[in-house]
Amino acid sequence: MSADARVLVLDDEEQFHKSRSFWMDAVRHFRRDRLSMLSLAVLLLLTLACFFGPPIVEKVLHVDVSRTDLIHRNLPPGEGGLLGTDQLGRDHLIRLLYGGQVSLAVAYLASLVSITIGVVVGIVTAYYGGVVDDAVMWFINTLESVPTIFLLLIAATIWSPSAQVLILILGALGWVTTCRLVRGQVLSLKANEFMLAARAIGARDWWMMLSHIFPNTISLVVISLTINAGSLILVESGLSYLGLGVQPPTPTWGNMLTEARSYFVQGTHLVIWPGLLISLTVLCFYLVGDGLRDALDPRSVRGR
Amino acid sequence: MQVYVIRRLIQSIPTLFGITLISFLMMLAAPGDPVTLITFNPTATAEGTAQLRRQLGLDQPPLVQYVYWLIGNDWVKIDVDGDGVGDVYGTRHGFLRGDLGQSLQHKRSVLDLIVERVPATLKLTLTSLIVGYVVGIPLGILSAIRSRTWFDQVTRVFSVVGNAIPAFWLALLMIIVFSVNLGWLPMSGMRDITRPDASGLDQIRYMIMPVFVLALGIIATVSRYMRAEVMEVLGQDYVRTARAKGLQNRTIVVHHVLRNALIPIAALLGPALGSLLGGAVIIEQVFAWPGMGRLVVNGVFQRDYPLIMGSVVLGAVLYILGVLFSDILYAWIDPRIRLE
Repeated sequence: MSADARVLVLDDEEQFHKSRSFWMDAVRHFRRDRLSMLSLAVLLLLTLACFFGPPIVEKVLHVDVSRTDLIHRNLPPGEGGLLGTDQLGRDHLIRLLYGGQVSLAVAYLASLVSITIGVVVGIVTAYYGGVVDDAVMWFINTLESVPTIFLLLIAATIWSPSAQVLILILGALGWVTTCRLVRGQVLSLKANEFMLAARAIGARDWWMMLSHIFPNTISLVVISLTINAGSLILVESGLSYLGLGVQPPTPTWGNMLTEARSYFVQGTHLVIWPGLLISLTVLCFYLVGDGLRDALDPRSVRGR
Repeated sequence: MQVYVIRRLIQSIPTLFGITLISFLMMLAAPGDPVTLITFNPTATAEGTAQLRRQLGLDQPPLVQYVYWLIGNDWVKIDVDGDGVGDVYGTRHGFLRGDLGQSLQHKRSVLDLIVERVPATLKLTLTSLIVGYVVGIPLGILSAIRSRTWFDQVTRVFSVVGNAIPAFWLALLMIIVFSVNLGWLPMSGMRDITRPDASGLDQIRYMIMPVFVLALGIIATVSRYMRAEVMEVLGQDYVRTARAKGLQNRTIVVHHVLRNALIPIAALLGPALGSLLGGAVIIEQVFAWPGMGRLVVNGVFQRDYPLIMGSVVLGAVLYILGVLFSDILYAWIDPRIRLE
């Protein structure tokens, strides 16, 4: 190989590395991960179907979400609409779609709320340390030692929840884990030299947090957001099952299961579909979260 | 070691204090007047309810109420008739002396109510915990040792799916299949109340479905965790050294890998032990299991605040003890921890 050629190759390589930032690298890795891509596609499809599907389905199948029909109750799929009818003769498919709207919105927004609280509290307390940090850690330890289900039960009784209130409750009780993770990350970041450098050129506290610390927690945030959304769907459905979630007639996948349990002999399909959708959604969230973790964690072995 | 244990014990005191404060504040914020809940009587006079309110200490400011709840009010005279002069001593002993108050709904001591229900819940959750660990640990180990075989793939899929399925939905499906369609297992309850002479074996039939459903989630978590730990240890230098020495695979796994991989499981055990009381609330509801969960859920619907608060605080105490136990276990088997 001539000297010229070698220089060229090196140049190319440099070009190659320069053109791939951390995020592009992560995206590349994620796109190669077929299972995660599939899960993401399913999630997107489900979300689109739930938020934009109902008007179309209503038009095409001539059904209405609140129209009851007591003569055609508990019909199996095929006989009464695509997925049958429920105990009041309502079309099951359209209710599943509307229920998905609420369940998914609660999951997305509650996850967003809890992550926001977790990140802000985590960054601020870990950055300043001292008494504030001690106080917040005491609060976190306390909150963590009460069984979550008990806290949720109490909160749900005190503020009998609509979807909006439920989002706030779940968000306000779910930030602890994220906060712990972020705090750990920030504490290790604080020891880095770029922090000292930023401080040396006169950066103020808020600028340090916003432009030097926060970007370094984004991968953590993205992963937590996904995994959290998955577990929140489970929590929401569990609360609904106990009768403490969003109240009927507003459908959610959780309270559809609650209603269905009284009729599972007449309408087994009423039990199967909401549960299947919950499981599928949660599974996809978890798989996407796992895929993101592989893609965003530089320590994980790429291309496995 | 003793120093470590004592330090951890002292550390848990502020947490416990915080829990009593939080649950008290939540109860204070709760709507609904306990007095109307107790009397629930249209003929009750304003004078009568006012007297009851003073008797219960509900006329006192929140801070006083909290102190009474914490250490009791048998050292102060209560002004029952409202003339500003104390008449009789209070009867409550307070949380710190083991008195959790009276349940509004059952009109009985909260502690007694809870203690009655705890065995049923423990029977369910402890069995599931044991089943979960006994199945989950070997599953994770095998999965790591045979990584990238079909066994590993199946286990990994199972552990993700096992965590994603709502337990109560699985329980419903199992009831449909095994109780309604096949008629093999009883649908709900803890035992056949029409047969007082039923053997222990008969009661086990009632436990199969709830324990299976609860254990499934634990197996999924534990096997996943165990797999990651074993994989990590397998990559360590001392394992390579052991291989280089020509040790048998079995010896390496048992003596070098497992010893180290099992240590972090102790950390997982703490929260698991801690959630023994609260971990089965929904499943108890599905199977009509007469445990803590049902007691609390009913209390919530009846707005029985002393009962709810007592359960929360007891559940939290158990959680703190569980974490404490696992921390001490951890420090005991891994000297690096306690030297930090």
